[in-house]
Amino acid sequence: MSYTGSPMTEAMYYILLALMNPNHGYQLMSIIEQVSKGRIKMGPGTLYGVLTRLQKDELIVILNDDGRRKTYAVTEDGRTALKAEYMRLKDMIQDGILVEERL
Amino acid sequence: MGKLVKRLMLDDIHAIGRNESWFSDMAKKGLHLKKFGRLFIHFEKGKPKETNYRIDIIMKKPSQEQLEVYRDCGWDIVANNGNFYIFSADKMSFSTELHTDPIEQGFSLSELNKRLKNNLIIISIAMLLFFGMMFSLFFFNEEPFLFMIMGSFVQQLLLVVVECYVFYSAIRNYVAIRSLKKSLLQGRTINHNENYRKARLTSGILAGIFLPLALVTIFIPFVQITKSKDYTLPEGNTNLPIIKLADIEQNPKLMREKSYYSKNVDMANRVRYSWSLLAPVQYEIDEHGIIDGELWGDKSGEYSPSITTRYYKLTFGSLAENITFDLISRYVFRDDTEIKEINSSELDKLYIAEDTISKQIFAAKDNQVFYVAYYGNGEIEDIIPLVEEKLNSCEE
Repeated sequence: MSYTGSPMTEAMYYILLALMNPNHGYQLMSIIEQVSKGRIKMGPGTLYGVLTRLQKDELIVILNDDGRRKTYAVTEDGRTALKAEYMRLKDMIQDGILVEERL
Repeated sequence: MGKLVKRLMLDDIHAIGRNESWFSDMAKKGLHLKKFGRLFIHFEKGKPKETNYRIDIIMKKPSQEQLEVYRDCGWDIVANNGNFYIFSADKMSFSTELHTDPIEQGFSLSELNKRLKNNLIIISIAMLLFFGMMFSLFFFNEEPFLFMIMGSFVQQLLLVVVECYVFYSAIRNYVAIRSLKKSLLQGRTINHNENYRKARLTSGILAGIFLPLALVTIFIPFVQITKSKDYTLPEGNTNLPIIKLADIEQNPKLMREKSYYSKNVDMANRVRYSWSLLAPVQYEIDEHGIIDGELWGDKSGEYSPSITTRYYKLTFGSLAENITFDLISRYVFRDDTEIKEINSSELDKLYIAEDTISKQIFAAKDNQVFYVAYYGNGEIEDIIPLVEEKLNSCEE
C-alpha cells in the first residue's frame, strides 16, 4: 500500500517532520516528545511500524547503516507529502477559525 | 532457571488481545511465558508477577537497535515465532505502550492480512480438489463397500476430517486478523484484558477431537502394515476359514501343486491376512492341487483343481450384505453367468454362480462374508454344506 495523499496519521506526520533532519530511530521518540511539548509519547511499536511503512512507500530512506544504528532521512517524495499535509492542516485551521470566534 | 511447564496453545495466536490477557493471568500465577509454537507454549515457573504482554506482528525481522528501543521503553522480547513477537513489561515500570496509534497498527497488519487471504484461497482450492477426489474415489467406484473395508478408506475419511480442521484454522486465522485490522483502522485499540476462557474452552474441545483423530490417521497405516502377513498355506488341517481342496476332491492321490516362491511364500498356496478398521479379519487364500494320472475332462492336461477363498469378519454386520453384492460384482466376470440365490437355513445370504470353468459361492452370515472360487470337477452342491459349516464354526 503506497501513500496516496490521504490524511496522515499523527505518528506519520511527526516522524516525517522529525526526519527533516536525518536521525536514528532511537532519538526520534524523544525529539517528537520535545517538539510536541510532551503531548505525544510514541510507542516503540508504532515508531518502527511507521518507519517500515514509510521506507516501503519511499517517503524516507536509510541514509547510513553502520550495523548498529540506522540513520533515516526524508526523501523528496516524503518532503512533498509532508508539505501537502502541512498545507492541508493549515487550511483546516484557517477554515476552522470560526471555532475560536464562537467557542 | 525455573522448571519449564508445557501447555497446549489451544487458542489462535492471531487472537492477540485474548492471548495477551491469558499470558498476564499465567504470570500472576507465577508462570512466565518462555516460548511458543503452533501446538505448545512453554512457561517458566517463578514468582507471581504483574506482567503486561504484547503480541506484535512484525513482518521484517527487527534489528538489534529496534529491540533496544523497545527495551528502553520497558518492553523485553520474551518469545518469537515467525512474524509473531511477544514482549513483556512489568506492570509498574513501562514508560509507554508498545503501540500508541491504532490506525498505524492497523496498517502494519495489511501484509499479514493479504498473506492469510492468499493462504485461505490456496487451501480452499486444495480442499475442493481433495473433496472431489475423495468423492469420486467412493462414488464412482464399482464396488464402494468392498472399497470401504479394504486398505485406506477409513484413513482417507479421517484425513478429510483433519483437512477440515486445517481449513477451519485457515479461516479462523484470516478472520481474526481481518477483524483486528478493521477495528484498529477504526481507531479502536486492542483490548489487552479480553476474556479468553470461553475461546480456550471451545478451541480445547475442538483440538481434543481433532488431535487424536490426526494421530489415529497417522497410526492406522502402521497397524495395517504390521498386522498384515503372507505365508504358505500349511498342509493338513488348519483353523483357517477356508474350504480345502481335499474336502471337495475326496481323493487320496491329491497332491499340492507348488508354484514359484516369493519371499519364501508359495504363491499358488498362499495365505494373505490383512487388517482394517472396518474388517479386522481378512483372509485371501489360494490353494492349487494336482491328481497324478487323472486328466481334465477335455484331456487338456493333468487334472489340477484350484480354489481361492476370501473371508471377511466385519466390524459392522450391517455391511455384510453389501459386501456380498460387491464381491459378486467384482468376481463374476461374464455377463451371461447366471447368479442364483439359494435359500439356506444356516446362512443369511447365499448366492452361487457357475460357468464352464468356475464355480463361485458368495455367502454372508452375521458379520462374516465368505467367497469361494473353485476350478475343478467337484459339484457346487457338495461345496455349499462345507461353506455353511465353516461359517458356523468361525463364528464360534
